[in-house]
Amino acid sequence: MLNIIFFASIVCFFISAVLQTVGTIFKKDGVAKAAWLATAGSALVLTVYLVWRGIAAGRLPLANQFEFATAFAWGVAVMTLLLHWRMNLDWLGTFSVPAVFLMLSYSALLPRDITELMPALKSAWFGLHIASAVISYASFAVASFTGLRYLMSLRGGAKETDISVKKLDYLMYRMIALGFLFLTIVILSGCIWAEQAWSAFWSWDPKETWALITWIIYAIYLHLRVNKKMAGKKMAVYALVSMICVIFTFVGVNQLLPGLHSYR
Amino acid sequence: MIKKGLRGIRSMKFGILLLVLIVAVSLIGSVITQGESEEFYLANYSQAYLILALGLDHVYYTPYFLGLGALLILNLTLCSLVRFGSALRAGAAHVKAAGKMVSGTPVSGRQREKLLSFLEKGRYRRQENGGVTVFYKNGIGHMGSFLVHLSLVLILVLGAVVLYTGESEVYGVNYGAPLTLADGTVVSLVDFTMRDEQGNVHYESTLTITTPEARQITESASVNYPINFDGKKYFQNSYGFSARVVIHNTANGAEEEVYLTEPVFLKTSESGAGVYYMAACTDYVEGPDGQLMMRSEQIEEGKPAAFLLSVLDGKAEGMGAVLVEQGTPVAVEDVIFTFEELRPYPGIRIKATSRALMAFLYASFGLMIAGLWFCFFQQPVYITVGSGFYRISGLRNPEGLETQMQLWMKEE
Repeated sequence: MLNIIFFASIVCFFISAVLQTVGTIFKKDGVAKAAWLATAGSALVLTVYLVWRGIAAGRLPLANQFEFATAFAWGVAVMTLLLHWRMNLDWLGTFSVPAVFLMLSYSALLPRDITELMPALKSAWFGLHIASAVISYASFAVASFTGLRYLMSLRGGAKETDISVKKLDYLMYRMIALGFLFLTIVILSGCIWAEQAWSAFWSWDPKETWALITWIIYAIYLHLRVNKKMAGKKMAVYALVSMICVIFTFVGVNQLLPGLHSYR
Repeated sequence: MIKKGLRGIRSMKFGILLLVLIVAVSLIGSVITQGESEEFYLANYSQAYLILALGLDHVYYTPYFLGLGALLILNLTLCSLVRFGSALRAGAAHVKAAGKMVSGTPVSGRQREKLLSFLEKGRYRRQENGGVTVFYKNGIGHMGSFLVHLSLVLILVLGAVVLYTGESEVYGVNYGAPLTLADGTVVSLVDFTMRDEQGNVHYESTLTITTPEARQITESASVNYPINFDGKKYFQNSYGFSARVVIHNTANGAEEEVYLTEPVFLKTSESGAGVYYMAACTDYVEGPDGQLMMRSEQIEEGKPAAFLLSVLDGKAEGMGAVLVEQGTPVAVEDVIFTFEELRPYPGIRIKATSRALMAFLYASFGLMIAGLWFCFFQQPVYITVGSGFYRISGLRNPEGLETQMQLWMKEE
């Protein structure tokens, strides 16, 4: 039954992605409205899946690569819906819903068995550490979609001084600031947890190192944005390129650089 | 000249350069396996000599990487010192500047009333300044950046102090062989298990710890749950296998049990007789002549063991190395040695770090989170309301608030 709900969520997100794209390309209000309803429905199905899986496992469904990838996709979907609801960002779904579909497709390739939580993960820090990572990565993902939208707006003839374009730049900055705050929580809670589990705050494990690299990359973005007042096209490209680092930290490190965090 | 140098060191450009270099070195360190032997690099990397010459096999402990860290601390410290004063003064300076505003977005009398109710609802503080009123909030936001930089300096410095001043060592603690630490604390092993009740891998050591003042506890240590006692932490770190040997003296009936972890000669008398224990394994086969042969020194949990021994009777030379199955008695003179089985024992990491230091370090973590929150989500805002106009200052992006205010003023 769990598998059926999971694959149903993938199908729902695929339909939502198609509707979002069609709604944007053909500028059909009715389709766009249906797309957002479908997105909300898809997110609901995925929420049911994660809750059900969590109940079946007797723990938070964040213990391995499959569960984290699914939770990451859920985080992006929920953040997209919240931003749409609060700020009426119609364009966001065109980027994020297909991305959620792709993330879930990646999840579908991973082993989905519910396994006992390994001893190293049985800690009070588990929820805070991983849930913060979901929020952080989802924020960075939304920031990169905003960067992409920014660049496309410029290509479409908009100017950097246009209010709508400035708003995109500001949203990108705010999402990176949010992601940065939560990435800091991920790293610091991870330090405390590592001290309890392995007796050392920091052991230069590849995942730790890449989390630090990601943190530094976004710290540089924030310094340039806030102190040097750098904004616009360069920063949009920066936000997009930085997302590669996030994806590598999330997928690449687990696949290519095994270490203490290789929970496949 | 010195002033110019200090300005350069505390500059953001220099800070960013250091961060980029730290990223570059960390990236190399994450790709090249760290801390292996010289032979490992020679066998696995075509550029092994370059790796070894540049210390890329232990890059995080090289002088240049530590130097980058030290320079970053210097950069952040100087930067924080400079920021502190301006952060403290920023609030008052902004209120003063906002009080000097004489023009802005025009508002009617009715709209002004609505705007004032909006500001009151938003819990803005107010200050009369000549003919205008300055409403402001989130002044703490000015401290955000300073707190983040300060906390980063504290984390780096305290982290380094914890790393270099704390005592941390791994000890094998075996059954019947209590460990005595330098300060007189005695650690004895009560039990060590490698699996939980469901059969899942779970390493847990039950230890009895006795301080020199005779305070004693018996507790279990496992991953995530170290024993915290008398200023020390006891971590479940690793495990090994020891050979349990029962030594029975038929002459006087005495019997004792010993646990062997390394080669040792178990003497039976002064004549030189005894059993020399060399190694144990679980990977062995029976040869064509019925003798056991070791295939590898590998030890697998739960498998029957065999022990490599040399028996010396004190008269002739030793009988050479023989592999005996567990439970086989080996008699030498009046003594019977029975190598019973391999029993796992834990490696316990014992760490002593100042509690005050740890408390400061954790406080720095909290300070950083708070600093980031103030920096990005408590942005200071100043709204000047004069007769017939209002003006927002301080915010990085005032459009959102502006729209909110406009909507509020339009509402009937």
